[in-house]
Amino acid sequence: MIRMKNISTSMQKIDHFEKITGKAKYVCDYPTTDMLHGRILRSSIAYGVVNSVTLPELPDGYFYVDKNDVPAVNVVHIVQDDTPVFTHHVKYIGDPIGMIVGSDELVLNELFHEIKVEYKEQTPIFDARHSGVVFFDYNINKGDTDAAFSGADHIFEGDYETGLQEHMYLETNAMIAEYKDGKMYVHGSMQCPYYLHGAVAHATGLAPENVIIRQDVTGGGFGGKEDYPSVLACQVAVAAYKAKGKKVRVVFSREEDVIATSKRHPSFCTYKVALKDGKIIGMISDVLLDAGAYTTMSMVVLQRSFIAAAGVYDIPNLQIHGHARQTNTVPNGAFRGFGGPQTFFAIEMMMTHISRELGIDSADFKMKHFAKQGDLTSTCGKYHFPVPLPDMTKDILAQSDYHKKKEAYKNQKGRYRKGIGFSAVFHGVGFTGNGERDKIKAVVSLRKNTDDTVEILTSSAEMGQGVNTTFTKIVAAALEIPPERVIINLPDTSRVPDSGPTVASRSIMIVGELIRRAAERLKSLWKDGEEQIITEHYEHPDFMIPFDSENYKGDAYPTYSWAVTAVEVEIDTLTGYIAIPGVWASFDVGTLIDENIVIGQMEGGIVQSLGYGMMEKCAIRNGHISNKKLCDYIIPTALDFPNIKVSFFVDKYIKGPFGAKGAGELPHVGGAPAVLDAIQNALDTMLNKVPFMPEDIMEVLSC
Amino acid sequence: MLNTPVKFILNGEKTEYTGNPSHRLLDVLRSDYSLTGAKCGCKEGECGACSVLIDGKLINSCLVSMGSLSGSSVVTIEGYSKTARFDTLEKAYASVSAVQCGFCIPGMILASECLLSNNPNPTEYEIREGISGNLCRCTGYNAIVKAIGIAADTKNTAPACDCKHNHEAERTPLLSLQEALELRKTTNLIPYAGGTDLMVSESSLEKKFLYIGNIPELKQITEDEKHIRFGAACTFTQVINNKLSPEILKEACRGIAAPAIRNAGTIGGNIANGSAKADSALIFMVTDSKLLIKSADSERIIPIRDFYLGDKKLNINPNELIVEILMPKHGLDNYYYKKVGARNALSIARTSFAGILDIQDGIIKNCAVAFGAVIDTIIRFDHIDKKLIGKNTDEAKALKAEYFAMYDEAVVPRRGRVSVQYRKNVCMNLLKDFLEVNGI
Repeated sequence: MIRMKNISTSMQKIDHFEKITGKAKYVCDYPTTDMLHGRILRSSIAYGVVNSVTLPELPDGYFYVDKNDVPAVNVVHIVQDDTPVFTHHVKYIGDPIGMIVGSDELVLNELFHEIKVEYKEQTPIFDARHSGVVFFDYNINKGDTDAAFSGADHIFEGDYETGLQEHMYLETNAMIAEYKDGKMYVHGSMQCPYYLHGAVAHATGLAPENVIIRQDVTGGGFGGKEDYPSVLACQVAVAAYKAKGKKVRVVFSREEDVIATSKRHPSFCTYKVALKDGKIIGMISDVLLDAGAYTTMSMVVLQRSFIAAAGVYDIPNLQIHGHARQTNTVPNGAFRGFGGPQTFFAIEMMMTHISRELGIDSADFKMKHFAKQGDLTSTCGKYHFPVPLPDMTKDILAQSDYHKKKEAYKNQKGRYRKGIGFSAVFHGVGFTGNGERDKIKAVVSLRKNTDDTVEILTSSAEMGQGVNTTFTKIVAAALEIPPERVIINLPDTSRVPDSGPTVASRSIMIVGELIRRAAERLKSLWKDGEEQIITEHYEHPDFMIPFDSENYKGDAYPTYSWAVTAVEVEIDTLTGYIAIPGVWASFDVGTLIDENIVIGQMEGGIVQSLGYGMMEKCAIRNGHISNKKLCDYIIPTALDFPNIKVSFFVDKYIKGPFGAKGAGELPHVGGAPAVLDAIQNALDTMLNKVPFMPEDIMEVLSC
Repeated sequence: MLNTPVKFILNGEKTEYTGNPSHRLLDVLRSDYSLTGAKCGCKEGECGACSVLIDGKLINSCLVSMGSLSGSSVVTIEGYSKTARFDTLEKAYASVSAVQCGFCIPGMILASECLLSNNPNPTEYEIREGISGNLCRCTGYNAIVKAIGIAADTKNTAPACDCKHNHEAERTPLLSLQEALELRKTTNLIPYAGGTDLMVSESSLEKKFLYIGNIPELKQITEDEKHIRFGAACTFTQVINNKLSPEILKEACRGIAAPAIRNAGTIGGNIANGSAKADSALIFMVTDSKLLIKSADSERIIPIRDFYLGDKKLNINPNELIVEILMPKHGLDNYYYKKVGARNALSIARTSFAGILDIQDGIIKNCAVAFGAVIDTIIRFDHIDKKLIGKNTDEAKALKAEYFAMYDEAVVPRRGRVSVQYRKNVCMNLLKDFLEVNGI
């Protein structure tokens, strides 16, 4: 292959061939001879104490593990330490009680069904609004909201709700563990090998060097394999510890994956907005997230969520209260957008509702309030770089013929009614606040071999988003060598340094920049035929205003990626069916490291976001999820959202590799508010919840 | 009659399977043959990650019982990836980076092959249709659709994938209908045609099946003076592609699930599973079709309406099989059909409606309406519809209010995946629209 002239020009993805031929080995593809199977016993009640577990007589070689078998601490270390590996004090339907292990899967399943569990039930809480257990509680104060509200000429209020969303990656969670020669080997489907490493070492008490985590080819993550695999890894490790040298494998059925693994937090937001002379001068917002049974990622999801509660707007006086409360439901965790989709939905709808009351077009009203370079963020940090929203908006409004359609769709009477909607959002790139500097402290290495090939050593996980290809391109371009001479494997913690988790849209901007710097250094030190190792450490950008995480003051993010989306709908008033004739979206993610890959991220993210807005409803009642199957939890097919047009606005970021920022999560933020705005337009009403389903449409129409 | 050993062709090689005939092809491919390209995403025929080609047709291998494979040719991604046609698709997918996590991709490639071998120059809609049973959570499908378009534009002279030409499988002699009926009399084997419903159940492994999917008498579509006669084991794809099938039935069959399910599922199965959501059964109901039901010693013809006894009870004896569905030949052209699902493919009816209005010389000769997915069986109230029969349009208009009032009372939905009120609203809206578009 010739050297790359332009980093954005796409190259064939390096895992393309092994995946398309079916040769790629996912964890479920390992031969199971000599392997034990595990099946996890889960709580059938939402809250209570396990009085007894009665096992059937187990054949030779079959055994059961529970909390008493955890070698060191019965804790899965995530952010905090409240998630148990196994528990007898169950807090949600699906909470793991123990695991039965044996060689024959069919026999194991029969035995499993004979296990009897007796509980003493306690009163569960299912509604976060009525939960007295506050996991996290934060406040943002900017300017003087009291003065703003007393000086206002209009005050608007709104309540907004968003539902659970299931990741529904095609490959369910699965993990294999083996305890051999004093070392614990765990491999499987995951986003964050070092999260598993820390958790397994903590639970087993093994020294870090005796815990080896390896990522297998991973069939999609979207955040769903950020925190959850740590839980499963600890469970299989406990079983492997007892299995005396035998490998233990757990592969979830679809139903088990839906019952047991994390979801997007449901949210309840209330807004109070003060206006003077048609401009927003103050805002008071309350952001409540339903955390589920354990804290898992809720702290960081809440931080990102409530920081974004003012959207992309310049609002001088601001008071935001964020809290995450416990319920006796499956723990909610990371999901593409990470709290952003909830508050961006709320603020975007709030903006449309204010403009409707004022009788002006919502896109114009929003544009009037866009933050610009130099303005203060909600946390009194700064938008250090140009905010390209005005240009992107003009482009998307023109592409979608927004104003003309919006006018034409007023006062429709026929069976089919059209509507058009618009949203403008950002995604702050990397960990919130000082996370990258104080918690993650990313390290990367490049190893040049004697044959002058160069291996990239990071803990970033390829899960379909193309990071192994984009990293290869970055290193090849920086070294000016053909990509064929760059080697990258799936991470193995015994071989790669901890460059942090594969989350927060940070891989390219943070880790990618580190390997670019390493490559630059290697280039300057290059010695043909010699082995060389170059290591780079994270450096906090010097322009950042220090972040005070007690008072939420300072730069929460070094920079932002931006998205503007317009969605058109056509509603069948006889059935409530919502068709999507068109979607137009513009993104600024800085330089595209690979055009095809970024387009694929944007298109895939938009489709998930539209699903979140109008299709994907996780039917949970009293902690019990009734739609556990793919025929019931509806995700989009190829026929649902065919007309998506993606364009880019490139504002290069000085601290990102070749000018790149973060991309992965951004497209999941703006689709839902845009589609809801379009539905509002079609029905000539105001809406305040997602998902908004045909049933909801019919309810509006029958009013 | 368990059809073992099962002799079939796998990726061009003869093979014999001697294990449990009720096991799923997917599990057998992955464990017995170490062919792990077909993935398990759901075990219910919903995701398509386990797609294979069976006799050139796209099939979900999780819904295939091994015993049904006798004499078939199975191609998996491992076999297909050695063909020239694969190379074209592979390069096309590469050129737009259509592969992300990859878990759906082997199935997606086989769906692409099946689509292009049947339709070398598909429109974008046809491409989306062709892969509509293959869920992908990463790409949003655009890149995959583009890739298939590129592959279609690449001049490709390689013959469609058929590894069968190398070996003609030793086909276990097919059962005749009479033999199958004798087995119905003497055993309690469960009739198995397409497997798309039976194999969804977790307990399918313990069941013993009577394979009737290949019985020639059950696979024909013929006509007599008054009827189109559909063999009960005709697949939905067969019905769609047959020129005798009326448009109302084709439209309903085209809306069923996705290609792989339509290639396997049968109309007889759709009726015999008793579901109120059965899309083709709704059409047989609204057209007042009849069922030819046989046992080894007798036969009877009953209106399909008399087949459903309510509460999942069916008018069929353990020694019988549905042999044919007899659909009236005439008066079906002016129809109204609407299935309300949760998405545009792979959807289970939330509510469905079919209506037929046959107006000749200004007089309503026939008016028939049926609702699906409202209660536990498909509903059809011909005593209400009779109100309009024999009337002209103006007379019908005068009776409209009464007609609606009767339906308003008669249609009492149950809560399912959607609310009672939603179902009711949709039913009444569609009923009104049905008459309005006919000028009533």
